[in-house]
Amino acid sequence: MDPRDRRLLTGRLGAFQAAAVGMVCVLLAVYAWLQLVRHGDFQQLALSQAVKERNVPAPRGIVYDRNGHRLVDNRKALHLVIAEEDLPRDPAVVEALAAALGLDAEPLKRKIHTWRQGSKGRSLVLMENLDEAGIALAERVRSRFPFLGVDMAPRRVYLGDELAGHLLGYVGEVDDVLMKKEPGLYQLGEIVGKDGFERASNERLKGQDGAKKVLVDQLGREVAVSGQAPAKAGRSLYLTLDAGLQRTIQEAFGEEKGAAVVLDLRDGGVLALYSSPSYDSNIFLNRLSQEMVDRYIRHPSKPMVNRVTQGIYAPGSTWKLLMAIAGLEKGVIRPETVIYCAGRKNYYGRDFRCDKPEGHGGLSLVGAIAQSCDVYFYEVASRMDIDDIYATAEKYGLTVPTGIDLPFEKTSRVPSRDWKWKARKEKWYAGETISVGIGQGAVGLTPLGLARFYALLGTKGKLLTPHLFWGFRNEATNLVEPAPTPPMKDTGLDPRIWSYLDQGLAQVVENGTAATNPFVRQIAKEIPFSGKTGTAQVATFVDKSHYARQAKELKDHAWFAGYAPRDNPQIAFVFIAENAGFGSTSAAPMAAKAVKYWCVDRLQDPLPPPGGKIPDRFKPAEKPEEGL
Amino acid sequence: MPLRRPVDRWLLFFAVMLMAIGMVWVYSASWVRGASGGGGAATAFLVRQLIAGMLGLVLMLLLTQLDVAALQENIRPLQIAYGGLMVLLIAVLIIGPKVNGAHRWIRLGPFGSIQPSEIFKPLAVLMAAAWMVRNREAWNDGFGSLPKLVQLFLIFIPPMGLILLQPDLGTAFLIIFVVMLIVFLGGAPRWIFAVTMPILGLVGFLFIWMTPWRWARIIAFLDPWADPQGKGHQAIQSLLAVGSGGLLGVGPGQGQQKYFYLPEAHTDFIYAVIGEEAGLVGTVTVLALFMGILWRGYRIARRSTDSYLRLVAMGLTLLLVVQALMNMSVVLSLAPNKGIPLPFISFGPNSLITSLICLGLLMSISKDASA
Repeated sequence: MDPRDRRLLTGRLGAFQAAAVGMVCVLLAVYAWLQLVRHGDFQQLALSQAVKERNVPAPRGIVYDRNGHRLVDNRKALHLVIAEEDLPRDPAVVEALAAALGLDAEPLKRKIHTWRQGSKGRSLVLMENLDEAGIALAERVRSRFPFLGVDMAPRRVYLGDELAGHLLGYVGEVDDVLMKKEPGLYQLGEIVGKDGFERASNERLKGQDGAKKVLVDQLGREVAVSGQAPAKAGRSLYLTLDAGLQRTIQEAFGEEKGAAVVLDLRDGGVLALYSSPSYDSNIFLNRLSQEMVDRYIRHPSKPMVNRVTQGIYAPGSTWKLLMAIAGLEKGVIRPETVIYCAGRKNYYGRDFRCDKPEGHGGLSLVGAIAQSCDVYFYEVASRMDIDDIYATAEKYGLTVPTGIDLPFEKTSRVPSRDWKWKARKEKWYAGETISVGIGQGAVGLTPLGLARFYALLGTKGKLLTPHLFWGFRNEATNLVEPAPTPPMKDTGLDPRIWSYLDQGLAQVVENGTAATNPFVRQIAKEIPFSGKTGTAQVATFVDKSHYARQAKELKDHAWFAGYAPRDNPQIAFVFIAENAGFGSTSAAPMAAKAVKYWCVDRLQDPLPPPGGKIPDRFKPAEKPEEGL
Repeated sequence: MPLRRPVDRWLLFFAVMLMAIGMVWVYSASWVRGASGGGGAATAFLVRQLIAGMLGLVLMLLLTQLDVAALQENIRPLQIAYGGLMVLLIAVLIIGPKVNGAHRWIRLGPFGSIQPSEIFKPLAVLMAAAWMVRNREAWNDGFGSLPKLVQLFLIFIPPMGLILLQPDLGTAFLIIFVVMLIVFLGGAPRWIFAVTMPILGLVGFLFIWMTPWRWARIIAFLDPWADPQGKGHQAIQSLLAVGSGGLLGVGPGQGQQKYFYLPEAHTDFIYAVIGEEAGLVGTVTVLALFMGILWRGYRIARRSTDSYLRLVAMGLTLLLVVQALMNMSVVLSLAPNKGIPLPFISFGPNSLITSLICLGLLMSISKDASA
C-alpha cells in the first residue's frame, strides 16, 4: 500500500474522529439535559396530555311512592358527545356538523365556546338518549366527524306516563340562568332537576359524579383506564304520594282541566297532587320537536302550569269558612245568629245577589254553610273591615306560600288596604269587602293554599306544611327512613268555633249543596265526609238562564274542598274543575271518588303499581343498579 | 495471500445487543398497533422483525465469506446490482403502493415487501469506494480530478433522482452524505469540497424551500411549540417521551407516549420510546453500542492493508453510525424529521436486513488485516 495513501487516510480519519466525538458529546449532553434536568417538566406535560380526566355521571336516586311503587327509574342511555379536547375550532366544521345533525349552528357554536372555557372533563352532549334512528344517524355522522363519540350515561325514566308530570318534574342539562344564579354550585353540562320534585329535591336526588382517568390517544379514543373514582348513585327515596290515589284522581279528571290535591292530616304529606292536563315528563328529556312545543308549551290549556301550586283562583264559597272564623273571632256574629236571606241584599247602593234567587230565609251559621248562603256572608263581611279579614287569613296561613317542596309556588292573594295600595295605587272601597265575603273579587287562592286551610279545619287548627318528601330508602331493608316532619303550627283555633264549622261542612254533604248530587250522596252514605262546594265566577252574567248555552271557557270553575272521613279525619282535599259549572255537579263527585278510594278501595284492592314493581319488604336488600 | 484473522467478534456483539434491544422495543412500541391492526395479533410486528432478523443473519454469515477486495478489480457484480436496483427503483414508482404520500415499497404478497432505496445504501458505499480506488491516480492531478468526480456524480444522479421522486429525502441525503465522506476519505482534493459543499447546500435548501410540506417541517423543527397540535406535534411528543423517561425510565412497556401520541413509535421514533421506558440509561446504552460499532469499524479500517477495504469499512461504519446519529437527532428535535430509521432497532425488515448486510461486509473485511 502506498504510504502516502495511508497518511492521507489516517489524517482525514482523524478529522472524523473529532467530529464523531463532538456529535456524541452533544447528543449525550442533550439527552442528559432532557432526561435529568427537564425530566419533571416533561413528565408533567406528557401525563397531562395523555391522561384525561373524564366525568362519570352518577345516577340520580330512584323515586318511590309511599307504597314502594316506582315512579322514577334510571335506564342506560346513549348520548352523542364531543370530548372536551376534541371540540372543533373551525366554524365551518361546526356548521357542517350542525347541518348534519339537524341542529341550529349558532347555539351550537356558543355551546362549544362555553365548553372550551371550562367543562371539567364533562363531554358536550349533542344528542341525548339516542334511539335506534338516533344511533343510525350518529353512526353516519361519525364517519364524517371522527371527533364525535358515544357515551353511555344513566338517564331518567318516568313511569306512569302523565300520572305525575307536574309533581315529579323532569331533569335536563343545567342552563345559563341557573349557572349564573348560583355560581359555583353547578358544573357545566351537569344534569339537574328542572321542574317539579326533581328540581326542588335536586340535592337529595343527585349522586356524586365519579371521575376516571383515561389514557386517550391522539384521536381521542380511550386506550386504557388508569384510575377511577366510582360514581356514587343518588339515594333512592319515598314520596308521601299514593300512586293509586293519584291514578284515581287522574281518571276522575279525564279530559277536564283542573287541579286536585290531597293532604295527609297526620303530617301534611301530599297523598295526591294532580294538575290537569298533565304531561309526560319523559318528553322533556329530549330536545322538543316543534310539534311538542306547540302541544305543551304554547297550548292554550297551559299544560306546563302546575295548577295546584301556580294556579290562582277565586275561592268562591269555599272561602266562607274563613269568613265564618273571622266573624266569630271578631264577634260580629255568633253561631246562633240568624240572618235573613231574601235572595239579595243591597249594600252601598248596589244589589248583591244570593245563589238562590228566591232566598234561603233565616239561617244560622251551620245552615248558612250547608246551604252556602251568599247573603249571610255578605252580611258577615259587611260587619267587618277588609283588614280584619286579612288578619284572620294571615293567622290561618293563607297569606304565605305553603312551603311545599315544589318549585315556583305562588302565594295566594288575600286583599287588604295595604295590598290594594301597593298593587293598584287605589284606596279600598267598602263595597269590595262584600264581594270578598263570598270568595270573589280580589281574593285568589292556590288550590294548595286552600287545601292547607281545609287541613287546618280537619285537624282542629293545625297549620301543616305540605310536603312530598317522606324519607330516604334504606338500601338494606328497603324501608323508609322517615325524614323529620316539616313544622306544624297550632293556630289556636277555638274548639267551639271549630265544632260549628265541622257541623256545617258535614251538613253540606249530608243535606246541603253537595247532597244534590246522587253520586256524592251514595258515597257519603258509605263513608261520611265533610266538605264545601264552591263556584268561582269567570264572567258575570245578568241572566243565568242562558248559562247552559254559554261557551265552555266562560263557565265558572267548580270547587270542592273538605276532609274525610267525617269522624277522625285522615285526609284533606281540594278539587277544582275549570269551567265545569257548579261545585256540586263536577268537583264534588271527583272528591267523592278520591274519598272512596282512600277509605275503601285502597284497603280492599290496591291499584296495580304504575309500571314499577312493589319491593318485597321482607326480601334481602336488592343490589343497587350497577353502572347506571 | 494476506494474513487471515478471525472475524471481529466485538462488532458482532454490539450489533446483536442492538438487535436484542430493538426486538424488545419493537414489541413494546407496536403491540397496541399490532393488536388493533387487521391481523389482530399484538406480536404482528415483532414476528415480522424476527423473521427479518433471521434472514439478515443468514445473509450476514454468507457475506462474511465474500471476498470484498475482489470487487475493486472485478466490478461486474456491482454493475449488475446497480442495474437491478435501478429497475426496482423505477418499479417502486410505478407499482409501489402509496403509503403516507410516498412510494417506498414493492409488495411481495405474503413475503413482505422490499424497499430498494434501503438496499441501495451498502451498494453506494461499495461503488463509491471502488471508484475512488480505481481512479486514485487522478486525485493528485489538481483539475484533472474534476472529470472523474463529475463521472461519479453522474453515476449517482439516476438512483438519487429516483429516490427523491419517491420521495425519500432522508435516504437520499444519507447516501449523498456517506458517498461524500468516502470521496473525502478516498483522497479527493480539498478544494473540491470547498466548492461543492456550498452548491449542494444551496440546491438542498432550494429543494426544501420549494416544497411547502418540507419547508413546514423545517419550520416545525425550528419552533415546535408554535403549533403544538399540528406541525410541531411530532417533535413535541418525542421530546415529551424522552423527557418523561428520567434517569431510569418508566420501565419497559410502561410508556404512554407510544400510544398514538408518538407518530411512528415503532420505527422512526423508537428511540424516544426507549428514552421514555429505559430513561437515560437506555439512551446512553444504545448510543454507546453505536459508538462501539464506530470503534470497531474504525479499527477494522485502520488495520486493513487494502485501500479499498479501508474505504468500504469506513463507509459502511459511517453509514450505520451516521444514520443512528441522524435518527437520534431527529428524536431530540436537533434535526428535522426525514424518516430515517435507527439501524438494528427500528421496526423495518428492509432496514434490518440492510444493516446486517453492512455488518456482514464489515466482518468479512475484518478478517483481512495483514499489517
